[in-house]
Amino acid sequence: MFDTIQHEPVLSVQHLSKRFGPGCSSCDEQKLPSNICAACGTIWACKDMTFDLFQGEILGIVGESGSGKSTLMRCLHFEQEATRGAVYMRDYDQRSTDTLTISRQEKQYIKDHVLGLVYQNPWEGLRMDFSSGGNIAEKLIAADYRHVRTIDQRAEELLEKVDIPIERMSECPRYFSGGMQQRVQISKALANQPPLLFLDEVTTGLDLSVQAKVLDLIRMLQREFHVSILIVSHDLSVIRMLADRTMVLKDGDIIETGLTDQILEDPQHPYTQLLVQSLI
Amino acid sequence: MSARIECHHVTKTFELHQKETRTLRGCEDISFTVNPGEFAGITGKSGAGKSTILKTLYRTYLPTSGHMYYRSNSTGTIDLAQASEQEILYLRKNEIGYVSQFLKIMPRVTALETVMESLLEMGYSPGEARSEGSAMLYQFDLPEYLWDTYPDTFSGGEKLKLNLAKAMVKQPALLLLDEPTASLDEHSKAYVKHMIHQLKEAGTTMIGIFHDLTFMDTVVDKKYHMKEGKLTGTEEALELNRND
Repeated sequence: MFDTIQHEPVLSVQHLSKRFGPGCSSCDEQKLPSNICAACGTIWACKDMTFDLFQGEILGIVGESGSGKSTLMRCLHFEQEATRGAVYMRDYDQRSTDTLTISRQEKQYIKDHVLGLVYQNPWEGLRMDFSSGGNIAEKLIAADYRHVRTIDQRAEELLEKVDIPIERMSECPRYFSGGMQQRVQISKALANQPPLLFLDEVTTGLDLSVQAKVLDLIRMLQREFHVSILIVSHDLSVIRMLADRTMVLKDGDIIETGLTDQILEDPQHPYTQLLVQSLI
Repeated sequence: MSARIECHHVTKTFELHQKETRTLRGCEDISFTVNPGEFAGITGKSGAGKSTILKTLYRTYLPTSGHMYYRSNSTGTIDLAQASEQEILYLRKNEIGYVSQFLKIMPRVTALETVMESLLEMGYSPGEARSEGSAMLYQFDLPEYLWDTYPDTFSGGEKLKLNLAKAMVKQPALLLLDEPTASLDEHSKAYVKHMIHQLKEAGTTMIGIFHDLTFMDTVVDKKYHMKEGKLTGTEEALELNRND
């Protein structure tokens, strides 16, 4: 797997834009000085974003709040409809169809078989009143697992990997701590072994020691399963630790992309320089 | 191209956008050639641009102009100045190592795991990685009771040894060393010297920055001096050292 240079992306995003608002003739997003159109008040959360994600790589996405990080993730996960652009996925159909144009059923197929998304807030990714095991089973059933035995075994295996005691499998995540909820959410997202994983601020707001456990888990995933990961974080030390490459977002634009150490030690864009200098 | 690395007129400047834009010199018009199994030493005052050259070769810094032709074992000759990020990531995993005086450690990863990780990412099995990693730590004389501890508690010298072990275990084709003996005692330096000779015999090309000139003279084949961002002269080291 590591013997070759990766030329074929697993995910290819081209000219993706997302607008909130009606849009008008004067708000061609590529010419706006910020992400708000002065004429009609439309917000362009993502402006003409183009990038590739390669096999087994962790691509970090950094930027302040409002820079378009989460909107990008949600467009890629079909939760929000992109205004323009195209997204191709190797594990769907070898990148031959723009997945933004396919039917709702096909999108659901991709969500069940190709993608995993972990939200900053576990409440978005979990059913809080289902058991932890039940949460995982739900995902597995969606991915065409049929045998009750296999589903139980797989759920146990996953929860063990994220350090949730098996005897708590039948409890609802509602009664878990934030860190435990986050780990259940990660194991749910991984249940069907998606080749592509999107992580949205998964360590934000967690205790340091819990944060460390989640980071360990992410590194293990990459090493053992060669999952390709997009990780959004405003924490540069998380990015430094995990990401091979990093993309910097500002006002809906990708202003800089590079090797993570290069972004941190030789940032080119004034905003990236400011960001790195602010690191304590 | 028979050389391992050929730099042609490499220049690196930094543009800092603060209140006003300022341009800082890193290194200027650097050209040199290093062959397989050869060790080039760079000397000069702090701020002369020595580390800039190494970081530019490793692409932690983006070169401003010039070419850095590297002869890869697997992909043929490639200009590191133009190479894609995917190519650089591949070369870092498999062929080009970089050791600085500062250890970048992963939290909660033990010393042995740190070295094993270098091999795992090259595709070694966990078993092979464990045995080769242990052998490497043993060669560097890192006490065995430290292997399963987290390196953030290590002394400066121990960290440096671990850093060297982590890079050298890959038997890289090109190894960049930024003061590889900075915080080592005489005893440890002897181990480093031994390892450097072993790697040279195996064909590893090295470029190193030194303040310890006595040590440098025992390992390098040629020396470059830097002043204000420029190479000011080259000198072949004594023939004696080559056969040392």
